[in-house]
Amino acid sequence: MNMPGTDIPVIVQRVLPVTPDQAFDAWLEPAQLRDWMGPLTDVQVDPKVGGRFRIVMGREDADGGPIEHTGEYRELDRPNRLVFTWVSQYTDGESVVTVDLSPDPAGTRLVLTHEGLPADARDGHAEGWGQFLDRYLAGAESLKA
Amino acid sequence: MDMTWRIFNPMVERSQTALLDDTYASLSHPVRREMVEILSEAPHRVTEVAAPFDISLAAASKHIQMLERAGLVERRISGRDHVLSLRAEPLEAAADWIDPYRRFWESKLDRLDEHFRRKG
Repeated sequence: MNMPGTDIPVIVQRVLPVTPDQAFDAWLEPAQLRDWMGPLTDVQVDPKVGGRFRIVMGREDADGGPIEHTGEYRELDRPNRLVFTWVSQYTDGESVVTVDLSPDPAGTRLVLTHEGLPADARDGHAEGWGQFLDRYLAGAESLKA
Repeated sequence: MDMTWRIFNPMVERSQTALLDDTYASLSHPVRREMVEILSEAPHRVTEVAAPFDISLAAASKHIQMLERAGLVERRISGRDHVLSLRAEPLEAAADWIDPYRRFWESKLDRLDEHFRRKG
């Protein structure tokens, strides 16, 4: 897939106290999405491969209105995996989110991978701190080797 | 990336947020940033880390102590030499935190976890 963003994905993990089926459904049911992604001013989902979603998140700070997130479901393999595209004012066109679910002794392990994100927004937010840290991390990594 | 690392300083387990505060505070001074840059190339003796700066050894030592307190720098004593080296973990935690997309999903997944615990 040819995406304009960086090669560095965001990977976030959690172990959730539910079954994989329950964890899967929380991504597709509007009532559940309102509860954990919210506050949402609008949520529309068409949960099938090729179907689209629209999630509008309210924002409490003054510097802007609600944030719209839209995308298309690419893969819905209950209860193992969801893949969907993710577009917002903070993405450089289309990015891709993959949610992998697997059984864990404590419930379900969720691994979220967000790929194709723009590099400039990631560094720009931090006013250069990101680039500063990248330089020293490169140095620190080479010391480990 | 493993976000569960901790250091003990001494006897007191410090929270992740306190460590991030220390990391950013310790990187907020140009002398300390340059010290980190020197150590990112290789471990150095205290005197070598202090040498490039037009400040007293005592002042340089204070900067080094602040880097040690933040866990960014580790000191090994061998004979009369105090050798400093850079630790990657606090920098990695700081780099992770600064990524707005990571903060977005970390916060959403915290709420997903709370959502299930409320329902449960």
